[in-house]
Amino acid sequence: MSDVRVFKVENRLAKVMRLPGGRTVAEALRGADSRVASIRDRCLTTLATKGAQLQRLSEEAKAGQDTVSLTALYATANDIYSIAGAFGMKEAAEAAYSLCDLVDDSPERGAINWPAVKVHVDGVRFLCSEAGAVDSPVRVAIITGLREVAARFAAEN
Amino acid sequence: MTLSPLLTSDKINLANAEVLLLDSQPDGLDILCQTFAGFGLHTPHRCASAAEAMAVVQERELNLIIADTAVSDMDGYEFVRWLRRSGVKPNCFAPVLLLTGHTKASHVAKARDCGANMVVRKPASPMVLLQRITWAARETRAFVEAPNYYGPDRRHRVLGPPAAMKGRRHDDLSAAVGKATTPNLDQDDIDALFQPKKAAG
Repeated sequence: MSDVRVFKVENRLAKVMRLPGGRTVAEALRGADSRVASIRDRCLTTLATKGAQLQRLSEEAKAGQDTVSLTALYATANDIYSIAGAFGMKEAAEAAYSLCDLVDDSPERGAINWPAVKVHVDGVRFLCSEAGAVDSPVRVAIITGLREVAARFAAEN
Repeated sequence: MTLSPLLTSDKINLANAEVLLLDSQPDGLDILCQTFAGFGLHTPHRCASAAEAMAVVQERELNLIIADTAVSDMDGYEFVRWLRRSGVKPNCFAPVLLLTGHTKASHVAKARDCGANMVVRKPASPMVLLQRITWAARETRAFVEAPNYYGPDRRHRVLGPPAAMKGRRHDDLSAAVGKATTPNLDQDDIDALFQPKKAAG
């Protein structure tokens, strides 16, 4: 029989949240939304920079075929997904997530589909740019195309 | 596990909470900090690395920890494993919500097995975060210390010990039904339970 100990612990979060005062859920949500909105412009600038970084990282990864560049490419796409999602940029977030899928699955499947990666990188770059943020029909067309590429990649593997 | 819906009129008080926010991506950390400032948190402990977070764990008594899994110097899962085994009380028992970006099923399993209380997939809207925080505040699960695991009990439902096994816990009930220890109810007693009666007075 292994040595297992089961015990109760005090929930100190509950204790502090029960203190008098605080704000209603509606007030808290309004407060959070307005504060997050206050850093939107700065975050969107970062997003555009990260979109541009993707191109360099994918070229380095393709040339070197090394896991370090591939990990950096994955991490950057993951960052883009998180930031774009937080500001309601659905297509940019979805494209970045799909790129993560491609890069993350590739080592397991033994080969990287570079054409699929390239078309995703181009798509994410555009969707993170200022032009991508305003042109809704183009955004929809890009994400539809990327979904087809991702589906073909999944079917081939 | 159920997440009860929050009413907009419900009250939450995080003003005096000690909350550690860990994300090595500067914008991600800012988004988290602004969200919690909106919730009314006065002084968040901002950490851009696991090393900073470990220092805060040693210095403050924390009520809640929110950590991204993709931290640069040590991933979030490792950080939680360290926290649970750190022996720094009460912080080693603090509720931990792990935030993930690109999420595979294996990531969720990894988060559960490292000792986190819950996994929240990004983008975590303020409403989703608030729901998870109130869920963590209602957390009643016991802690389990075992050679290969330290954290909240991973079982959310009590199903008793496996069939034909005695169970290792002192409060595990036996699957076998023993002999009755009190007299059986007769039919009149049973019928009386279903008969509405006029309240006295």
